Amino acid sequence: MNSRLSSVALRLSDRLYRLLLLVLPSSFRLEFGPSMAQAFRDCCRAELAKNGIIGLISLWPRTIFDLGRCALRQHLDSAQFQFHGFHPIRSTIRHPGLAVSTLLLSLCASAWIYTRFQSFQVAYYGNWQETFAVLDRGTFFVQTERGYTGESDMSPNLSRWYPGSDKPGGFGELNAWASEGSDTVYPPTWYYKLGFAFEWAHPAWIARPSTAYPAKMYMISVPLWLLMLIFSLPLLRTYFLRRRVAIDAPSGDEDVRLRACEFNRSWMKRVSPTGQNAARITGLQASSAA
Amino acid sequence: LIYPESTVIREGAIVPPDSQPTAALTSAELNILLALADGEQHGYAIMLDINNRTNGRFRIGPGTLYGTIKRLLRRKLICRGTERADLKLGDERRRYYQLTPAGRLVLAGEIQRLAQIVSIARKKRVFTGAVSAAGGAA
Repeated sequence: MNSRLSSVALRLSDRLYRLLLLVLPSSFRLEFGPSMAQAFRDCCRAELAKNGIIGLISLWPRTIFDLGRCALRQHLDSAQFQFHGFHPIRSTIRHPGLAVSTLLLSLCASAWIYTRFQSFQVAYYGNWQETFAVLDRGTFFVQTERGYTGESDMSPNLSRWYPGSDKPGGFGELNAWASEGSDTVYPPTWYYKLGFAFEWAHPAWIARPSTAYPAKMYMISVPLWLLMLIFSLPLLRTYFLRRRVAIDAPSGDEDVRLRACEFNRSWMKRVSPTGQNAARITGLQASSAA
Repeated sequence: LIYPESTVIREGAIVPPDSQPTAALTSAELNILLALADGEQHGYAIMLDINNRTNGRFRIGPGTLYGTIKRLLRRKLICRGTERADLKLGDERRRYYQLTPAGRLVLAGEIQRLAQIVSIARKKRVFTGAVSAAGGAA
């Protein structure tokens, strides 16, 4: 029983680790993935023999940390590799254009939607504690503020938290939309919570310079958006490029490339139920061997 | 003694050590080079060697190991050896890695640098003991 359990745990760990290898850049995974999986299997066997299942479980946090750190490092390395212009096929990339367009479109669309609801913002009262409490606790805080007793038809003091919400085009319009077709006047709890989440993320102060209250919190969110743009786009671009290089490029260490194809093929077989990707890689392997 | 990676990649060859500025090896790099000093080893054997040599104080996972191996390969401090099974661990074929002459040179330089640091520490009476084989101060 014990040996059977160990065997199942070993197999599961192996499969999970191979799946986690997906976080690595494809070129690195193709070259070193099989060896990493092999070394991890050996570590698992050693831990199982030494400390049993507990040892195997205790191996996982270290492994995840190690893999995460490695993935970050390799992605940064790949990005650096691209920025230095070492590779001649930089101009063949089409996907980043799509990524930029999508991001711009989504930013514009969300800003437009946001401007439809003029007072839908966290007002900054000069009291950080209060503001964070609203962001953190949402509906609960509002309800507590007005002495909520648990009756669902009590009106929250929205004009206190959302100044201007009672004016046409303000929060009232949003309320009407959310509670349309329902007997209740005010939207459900999830709606308020969702609202707080949106507010935190939207850089709408750019689109609406006439914002009635200085929503200084947005000034924190905008640099976050910029950081996301700066870091995500090169990584996205590098990811697609490196994948092309690893699979399609005819040059390089043939032996490594064939082993990498073999690893990828066996992995794809497990992941892809239709086997289309496996067939594609087998084709590449065959053409490369020829 | 360690060359910038870009130099090696662009020129495709190792520049003479004395023509490049020196830089310290990371702990992982140093330990891997030390593990390979006895002869060619595969990945798991390197992990075991490091673990045994440091009495488990410095553990290296597969991600760190192969990430570092990639850097060392790129700098041509190590190279790929044969691919064969390790009979002690079963019949799975394993890729072996071995130290290059440049790698051995860099390792010697790094050890010398560390020895100098220990020597300075002794002079300044910061460190007075001996260094044990497991890496700790005795």
